Amino acid sequence: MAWNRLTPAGRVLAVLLPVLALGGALTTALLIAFGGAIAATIGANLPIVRFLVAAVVTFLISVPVAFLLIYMEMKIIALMNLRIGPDRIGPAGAVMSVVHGLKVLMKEDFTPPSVDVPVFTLAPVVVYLASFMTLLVIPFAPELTSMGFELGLLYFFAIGGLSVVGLMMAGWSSFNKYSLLGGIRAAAQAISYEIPLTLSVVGIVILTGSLSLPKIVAAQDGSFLDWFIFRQPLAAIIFFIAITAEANRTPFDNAEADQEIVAGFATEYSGMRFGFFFFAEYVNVFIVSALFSAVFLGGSNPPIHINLHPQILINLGMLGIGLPLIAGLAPVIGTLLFAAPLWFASTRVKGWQALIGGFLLFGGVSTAAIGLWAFAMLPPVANLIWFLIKTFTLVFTFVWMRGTLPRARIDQLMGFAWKWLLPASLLNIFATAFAVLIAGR
Amino acid sequence: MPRIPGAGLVSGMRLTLTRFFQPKRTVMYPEAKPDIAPRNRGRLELVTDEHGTLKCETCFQCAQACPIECIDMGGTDTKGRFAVHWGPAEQYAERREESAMRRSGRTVSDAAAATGATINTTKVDEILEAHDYDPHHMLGILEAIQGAYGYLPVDALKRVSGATGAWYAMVYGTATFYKHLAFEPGVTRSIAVCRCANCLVSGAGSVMGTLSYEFATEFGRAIPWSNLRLESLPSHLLGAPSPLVVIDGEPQRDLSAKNAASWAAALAGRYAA
Amino acid sequence: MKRLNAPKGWSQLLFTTPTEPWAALRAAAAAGAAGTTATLTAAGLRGRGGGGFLTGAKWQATAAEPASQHYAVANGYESDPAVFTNRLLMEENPQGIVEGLAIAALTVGAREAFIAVRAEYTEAIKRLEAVITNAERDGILGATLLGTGRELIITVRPLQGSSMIGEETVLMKALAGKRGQPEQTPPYPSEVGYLGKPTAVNNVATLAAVPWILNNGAAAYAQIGDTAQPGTVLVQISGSVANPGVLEVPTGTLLNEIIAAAGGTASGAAIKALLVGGPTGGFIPANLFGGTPYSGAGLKSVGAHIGSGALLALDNSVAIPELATMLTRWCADEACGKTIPCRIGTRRLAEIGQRFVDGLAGPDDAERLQKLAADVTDSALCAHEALAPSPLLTGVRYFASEFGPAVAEPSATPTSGRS
Repeated sequence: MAWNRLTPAGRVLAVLLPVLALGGALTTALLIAFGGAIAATIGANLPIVRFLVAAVVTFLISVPVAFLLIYMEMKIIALMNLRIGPDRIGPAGAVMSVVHGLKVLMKEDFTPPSVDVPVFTLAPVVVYLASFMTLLVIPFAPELTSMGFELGLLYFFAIGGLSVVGLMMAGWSSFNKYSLLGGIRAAAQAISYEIPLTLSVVGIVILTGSLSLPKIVAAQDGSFLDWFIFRQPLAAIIFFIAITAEANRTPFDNAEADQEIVAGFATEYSGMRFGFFFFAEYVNVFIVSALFSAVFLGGSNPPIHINLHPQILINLGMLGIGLPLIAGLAPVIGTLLFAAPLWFASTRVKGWQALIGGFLLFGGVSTAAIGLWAFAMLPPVANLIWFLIKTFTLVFTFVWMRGTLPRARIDQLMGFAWKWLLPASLLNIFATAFAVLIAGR
Repeated sequence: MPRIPGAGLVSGMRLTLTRFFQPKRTVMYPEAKPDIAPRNRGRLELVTDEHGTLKCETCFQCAQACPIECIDMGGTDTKGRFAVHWGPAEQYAERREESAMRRSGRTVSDAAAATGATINTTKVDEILEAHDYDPHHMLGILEAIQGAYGYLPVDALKRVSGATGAWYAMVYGTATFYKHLAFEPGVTRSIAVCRCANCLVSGAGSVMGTLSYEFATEFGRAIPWSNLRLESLPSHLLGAPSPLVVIDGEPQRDLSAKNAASWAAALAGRYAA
Repeated sequence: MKRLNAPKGWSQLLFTTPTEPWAALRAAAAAGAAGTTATLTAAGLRGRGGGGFLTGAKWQATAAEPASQHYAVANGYESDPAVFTNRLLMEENPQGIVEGLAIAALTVGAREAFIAVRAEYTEAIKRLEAVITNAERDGILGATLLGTGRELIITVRPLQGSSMIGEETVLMKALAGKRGQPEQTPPYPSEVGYLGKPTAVNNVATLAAVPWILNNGAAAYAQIGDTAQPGTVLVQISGSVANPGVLEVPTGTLLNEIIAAAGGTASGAAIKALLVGGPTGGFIPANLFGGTPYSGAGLKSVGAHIGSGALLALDNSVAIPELATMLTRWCADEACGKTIPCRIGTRRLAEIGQRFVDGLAGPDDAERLQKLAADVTDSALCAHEALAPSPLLTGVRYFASEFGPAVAEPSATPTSGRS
């Protein structure tokens, strides 16, 4: 039959297109039939729907973010080591972490015989969930927060602490004394640093009077001098150190010190389960960076408010029939416009190559233009981009620390938390309270 | 510097940040090749000398020595040089020329092979048929080919290799090891000096020395521009006197311990002129 | 080169033809492999090719080796160019050799056996082939061995082109049409031989003794000659003796008795030394003739060995350093080239010897000779390399004065630092 003569791509299309067509037709039919009813239901339960959509989107973006972070780590540490890092797979090696992810998926998922199977199976799930559920309260932008409820900060620390349980579960159920040691160390480290972590933000809470993250972000509105990092420097330092320890990053990564105890608590895990731990860790890094930037660096507030009064207020409705015409012609004209210099530049460039180049250039330029317009015109876009800039700067700092600093010994690490950070955070609370009292007078 | 807490951290972080912006040391292999010293032993490969000829004697020792028999000699220009190939002989359509043999001191044996012309291999096929294409009978096959052609033509060796399945390196290795097999056509006669202990006592040493000097040829080699070869007699002929020199199978009679050197000079004079 | 008549009292067995041909083969077939090897071990027959292994033990080991095929090979290839002992044996007693080989093949379970002969020995080849053809016609060999339904094909393989072929691992390769370079032993040919299968390789002189032993009993053989190495050895004595020729000598016979059997010195010239063992043999000075028995152990104690069975009598006209150097050069030229110590070392030894001959030896050449000789021997892959330094070593040991003052009076101060 003709099936045999199809290429693999052709076969995929041959299956996909009818399915899509059918699906599309069915959806359209359903929408026409029940569209009104669906819209009404959504309208009635808007908050729930909004939450659902937000949660789904958040979960969906977390995995690509983890890939991105893995890639950043490989690349930045390499550049700091005067190496190049991944550069063959994908442009500048960008697809490398995807390949790593796929590799982890394809590895054999082996359960050692004497493990405590239900605990062993659930441990990665618990750790992963702990990370992801905290993702829900991060205020990416005032309009883009999944759950902006009043106890956001408390919720964050509470759910974040759940990962300790997951680590202990992993260490214990592995039936491996070294994994157990790693798990216990990780748990001890986590709970030791939780206290300075929570105590250091008490100063912020005193200043803003609220545990809600969107409100904390809003309290830093204005210029960058309003950011809490300047108003609570000691708290910022303590918080930064504590989140490094909470995320098991160097110099506090005893739990997973590759060079010392294989993978610590995760030694017995392989395949997809190890992938869970791996991804959970990188998402954790992103989350704590996001939290730091939300609480101390002003979140989605730009450093300086610049009032862009865009003069380009095109009433698109005015164009009438011209709008579809322009929409149709613009790509064509743009391609030709960008292709012309390419074609004239060198005799080796053939016509079709110039056209493709022109199309790509037009695509890039128009996307950049639309992006800039969105940044200027649409507040969510601008806020999100500012938030991401700050978060990724923090991520860069974490990676930078990993590429530079040696690891702290477990006793040094614990001693530091209890003997230095805890008193320092208490000092910070007293100082803040005192200052508020004086200023309030 | 007074120990400010955190100063080490800062200086370390500063260092890595500066490194972040510095040019990287990675050599983008294979687009760029690293600068390796000329006599580096890191990788074994055949090299060419300043005239562009390959520094390979085609002595087949590497092929013989390889324990998994994966080296063979052969092929023509690939990337402007001959290559030592790894693989079975049947893959290669052409065999190496005798240029390596030329440099190794052997005379260019097969002018026909040098020009690429071929010989009539019917006799080779008959010989192979008679020996049942068995590579274990290689010595017998080669001796029969030498009997038929007077020497071992390269073409015949190719044919033997192809028909028996024995690798050309092995065939060539066998052919070059045994002294009674010859690669030069036209060298049909030999001056053979016996080097057994009895003959040595009787003056074979001085006979050898004189002959080698007069003909300006080492033992084991053909005397240039003649059909003669100087060689060692493998075994003393029963009943022959000492010292023993055999020419065309005939032991020479007018030779004795006392006149060995002068006899050799006279012989050289006869043949050289 | 003819056979000399042995003096009375010397048992002769190698050239004797049994009254009933093939009786020994039938006896071996009846006794079975175990019985045959037991008889041979009791007789104490050792290999005459130079190795000196107990033949019975060798055959037992070969037979015990599990493999799909076994082979038996008679080594009639004389590496020593001067010696014709094997040739005479093959020409005058081909029956004994073929029968011995057939017994060997029967014992180790071989279906195919070879007799390796020098291609120049055309007469020997003819006679051996005649014996085989007659035996096949009579149903002794060939498709059915003694009518038992087992096949045993014996082929005569003429070989030439290298002196190394006499070495057993080289022989295995030459028979298989490969380059004649020896292999590391162990594994010996009894484990990995012709085409990788267990092969019993024996010298033709060893095999010729086997039918006699089976016909006359192990005890009779064990009584002949030396107790540690019973039997006789085919010796070729030449040089400055009155009657050069081939003698069958019982082991343990003293060297001067052998010289006497060859008629003593030739026309009055006193014998200075005996070169014992061929081109890789050792020089034995005249003063040791009376005290050295001709046996493996006896000769080894003075630095020589049986080797090819050659005895070359040297009178005062022969310069030992020159002869030793030429012999070493022969060893170097005949070397197969596989190992570097042999290929290069023997050349260097010849060069050092030449320096002694030319009188250009340096003060540390004597020590260099000893060290190099020790290295060559220690790293030897085959007997050729191991024994190649023997002429120079024994020459320096016994005839130091001929090598010049550098050897006769080594310098009092040790040479500096050179290892």
